[in-house]
Amino acid sequence: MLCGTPISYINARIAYRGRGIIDTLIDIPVILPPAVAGLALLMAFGRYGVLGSYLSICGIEVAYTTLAVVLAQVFVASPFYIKQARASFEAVDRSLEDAARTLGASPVRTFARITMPLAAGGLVSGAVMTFARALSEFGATIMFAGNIQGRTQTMPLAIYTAMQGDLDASLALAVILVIISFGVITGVRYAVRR
Amino acid sequence: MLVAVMEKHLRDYTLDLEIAVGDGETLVLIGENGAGKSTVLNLVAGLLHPDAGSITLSGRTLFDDGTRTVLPPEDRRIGYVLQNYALFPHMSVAGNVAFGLLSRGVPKGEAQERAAGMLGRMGIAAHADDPPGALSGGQRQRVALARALVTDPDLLLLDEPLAALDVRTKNVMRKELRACIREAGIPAVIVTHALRDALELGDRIAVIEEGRITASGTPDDILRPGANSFVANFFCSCVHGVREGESQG
Repeated sequence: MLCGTPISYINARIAYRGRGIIDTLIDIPVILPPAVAGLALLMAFGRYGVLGSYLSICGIEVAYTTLAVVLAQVFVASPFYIKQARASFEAVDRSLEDAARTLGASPVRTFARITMPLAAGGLVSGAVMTFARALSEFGATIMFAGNIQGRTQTMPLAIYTAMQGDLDASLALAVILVIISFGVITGVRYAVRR
Repeated sequence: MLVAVMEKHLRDYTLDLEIAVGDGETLVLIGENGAGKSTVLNLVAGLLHPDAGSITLSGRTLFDDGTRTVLPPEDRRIGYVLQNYALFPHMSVAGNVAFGLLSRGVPKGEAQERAAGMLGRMGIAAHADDPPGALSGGQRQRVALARALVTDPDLLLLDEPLAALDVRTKNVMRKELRACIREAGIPAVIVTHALRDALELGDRIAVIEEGRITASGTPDDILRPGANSFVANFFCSCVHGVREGESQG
C-alpha cells in the first residue's frame, strides 16, 4: 500500500513520458501464470540469480525464506491494489481538487482532505481484495519459496501437503480459508457501501 | 482591479485576449461552447498557466512570464465558483464553507463562527449540518457562493453559475447573485452562454470567439444592431426575444 498508493495516484493524475510502459509492467504479473512468476523471481533473487548472486555475497539469502513468500505474494497480488487504487483516484472529480486549491489548500492538504477521503472506499476494498489474492497464492510461492513447514508453508500449500495423507486435515484447513475469504468479502462490501 | 493579458495555445486555436475589471464591476464572458470562456477563468485562477502574458490583481502579480512569476492557486486569493459548484460531498455544508478558512490557517473556532455567519447571510443556516447532496440546486449555489466569499477574496470567478438551475430558481438566483457581487465590492468575472444572464448580471459583456474577444461593451452596446456580425449570428432570434420580453414586462 505504501508503494502502490503513490504510484497509482501519479499514474491517475499525471501524464508523464513512459506512463504506458509503467502500466504494462504493473499488469505483467496479472497476465503471467503464477508458476512463471515464481520462476522469474527465482531467476532474479535465487542464489545464482541476477540480483540474488550479489545479495548472496552480502550474506542475504532470499529464495526459500519467509521473505520469499512475502515477495512472491507482493509480486503476484500488488497489481490488483494498484489497478483498483488508480481507478479510485480517477473516479475523484478533478473539479473538487481544483476547488480546494482555489480555496487556499496546498497540494498536500488537497490530497489529504479531498482526494484520499473520497478514494478511501476504493483503496480499502482494493487492499482487501489484494490480501485475498495473496492469501490464495500458490504457484509463485511454491516455486520461489518452497514448501517448508513452519517457514514458507502458506495455507494453500499446507492444504495441498495435508491432502497427500490426511484429507480431513486439508478439509479443516480449507474450511478456515473459506471462513477468512467470507470475512474478506463481507469487509469489502461494507467498505464499498461506506 | 484585475488586469489580465493572456496567450495560451490550445488544441484548436490560440487563446489571446486582454481583460480588465475594476472593483465592484462585473464582466461577463459570453460565447459558444468551446470558445475558451472557462479556460480564461482557469488561467486567472491558476489552475492553468498562460504561455505568455501577465495577470495582476489588486496590485499583486499573479502571473508574469517576463519575471517568471507563477503564483499557485492557493495563494491568489480568488473565489472561484466552478461549474456544478464542486461542493465536497464528504463534508457537511458548514464543513464546505469552513474549508477555505481552515486551509488559510484560521483557527477552527473562528472558522466555524465565520462559516456559520456567512451561511446565515445566505439564508441557508438551517442546512449547515446537511450533506451538499441533500440540497436543491439553488441552495447548492448559495453554499458555493458562501464558500467562495467567506475567505474575503480579491476577485470572484463564476463559471456558468445559473446553468444547473430550473427556470424559476434561475430568476431568483440571478437577482441574489447580482446583489451578492455588489455587496462584496470586488471585481467579478462570470462565464455564461445564456444571453439573459449576461444582460442582467454584467456591467460589461465580452463576446469570446475561438479564444479572442470579438466584441465588448455595456449590455446596450452589445445589443445595438450591427455592433458585431458574430454577435448578431450568435444571439440570433433570442435578442429579439429578450427585448420583446422586456418591453412587455
